[in-house]
Amino acid sequence: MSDATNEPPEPTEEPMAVVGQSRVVKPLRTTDVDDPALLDRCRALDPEALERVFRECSPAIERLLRRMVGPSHDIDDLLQSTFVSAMGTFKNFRGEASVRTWMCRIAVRTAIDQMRKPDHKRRHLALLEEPTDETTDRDRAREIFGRQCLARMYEHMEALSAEKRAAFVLHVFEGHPLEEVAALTGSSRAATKSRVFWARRMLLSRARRDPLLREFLEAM
Amino acid sequence: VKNLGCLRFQEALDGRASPLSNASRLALEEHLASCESCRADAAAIDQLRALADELPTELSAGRRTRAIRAALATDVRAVRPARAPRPWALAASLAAAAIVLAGIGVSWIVASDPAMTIKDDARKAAPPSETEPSPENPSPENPSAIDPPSHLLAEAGAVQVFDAATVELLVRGFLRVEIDPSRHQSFRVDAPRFSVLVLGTIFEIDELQVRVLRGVVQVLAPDGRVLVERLEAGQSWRADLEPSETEAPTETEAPDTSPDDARRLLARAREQIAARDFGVAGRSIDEALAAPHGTREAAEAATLRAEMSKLRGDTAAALRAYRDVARRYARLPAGESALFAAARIARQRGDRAEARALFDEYLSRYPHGRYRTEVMRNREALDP
Repeated sequence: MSDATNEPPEPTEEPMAVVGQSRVVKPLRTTDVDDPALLDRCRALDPEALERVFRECSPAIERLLRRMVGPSHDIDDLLQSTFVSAMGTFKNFRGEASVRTWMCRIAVRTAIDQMRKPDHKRRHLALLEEPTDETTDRDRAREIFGRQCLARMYEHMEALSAEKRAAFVLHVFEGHPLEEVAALTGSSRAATKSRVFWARRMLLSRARRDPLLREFLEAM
Repeated sequence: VKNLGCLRFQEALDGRASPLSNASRLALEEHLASCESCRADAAAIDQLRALADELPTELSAGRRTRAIRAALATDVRAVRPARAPRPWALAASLAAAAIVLAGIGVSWIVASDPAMTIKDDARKAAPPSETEPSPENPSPENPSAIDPPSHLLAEAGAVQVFDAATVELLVRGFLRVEIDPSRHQSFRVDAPRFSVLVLGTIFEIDELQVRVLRGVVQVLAPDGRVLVERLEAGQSWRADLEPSETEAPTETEAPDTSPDDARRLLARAREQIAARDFGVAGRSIDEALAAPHGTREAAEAATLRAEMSKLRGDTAAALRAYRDVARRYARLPAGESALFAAARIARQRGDRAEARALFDEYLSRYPHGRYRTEVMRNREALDP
């Protein structure tokens, strides 16, 4: 095996730019919401403390949920379910990970549970806004094409199992290292690696057979 | 087709968005420079990731606050935490299914007593029904029988009564029911305010409404009177939208005669409207309404008139017409679409209060409606 597969990732303190891209990975960080006194109040279900923690963690959770369930599903209910689950288990939170990481883990499980439901594939219609005067036909066509491609990509992702989809989104789209994805999904590293591999293979295969996505891939 | 050399780089290829070691990064770059197949994969992944980056990820402050407040208002004592995926869950489910199947024979005998009930007061907070007993989901401790040809998925909160002759369910809470049409005789679902007669279909039902996802059902009043002869896939019906004697008269949900003439004339009217030939279209609509027609055709005709007003630029008349369709045909898809259209017109007219009220009315009437996402976005934009 080469270095590419054997060598563990070097610990990084600063966000790192990655090969061939301008993408920057934001590590999950420890913040003042990890203050032990605040967490003790959360364990006692103090509404003010809970609201402070939820507000701090909410953007990261919303991003995770949106990426996992796609554009055709509302994440409001999932966000609420995540908070409710967190309230129900806060007393068991030992503070070994940051509270944000812990809540992201709950969000991932909430999203996986949602994706397993048989009616998850029922989508709400998303209509396009009325064109404004400033919008040119070309911009409009490009926007519509982009939204169609995005929706189509998530349709193909719905063919994946909830676990494969979660692992793929968290690792390939969100940039979480495999170890972190394994922790977030409650799986082993080997299982996570395998899921990402097969998910990527299946998604690319389907995308290349889909006329719309093939056009998107070839146009870029 | 990948060769073995490529397979060594798959992990690094997948993990390009995550921090890679310098060695891994260099090795991958070297490989990509020489392997066209992996280079194409890497480019495709980058493009799909860029596509995913287009997703709006954060909620607005208002929606976030609503989610937080709603969670804080929840009684967490009734909530079970989200569970980690359990690898043995499938085996446990199979074992539980075997036990249920074995118990069906006994249940069919016991089921001659129609008073058998399953009670569960937890609603929404608990996840879909589990196979093991729990304080939040006590169904397994109760006598129950799932008719073999039926496939029943019940969320916590359902009360079910099984009868010997037919499967009869008394609903409190929310149920999704799937019936195999090839094997099952008809059966009835009794909700507190109405009943549904089904024969091979998939539908969702709660105390107030029924939504048909596949097939056809009939809605009955508690006294056995037919309220809706045929409720088809994609349609929903709400008990609280049934007209009372004090309300303004609405169209009756008469048996749909589906007259071809009226439909043909309405289709022609739609083409004429598209061609902006409004005078002729109006006459076609009049002719359609003069011919034998059902509720759906009447709703279509009223919608076409509203569309004509909108296309003529008379948004005040269009708004009135759409509101009228929404009120009179609230149970039909046309009513739902009309309410959404009315709200959009109010927004375009700059009448923010009216638009807010109409979007709110939509969310209240159709919490799982077809335009829910769009309505929520529009409603959000109207927040002060």
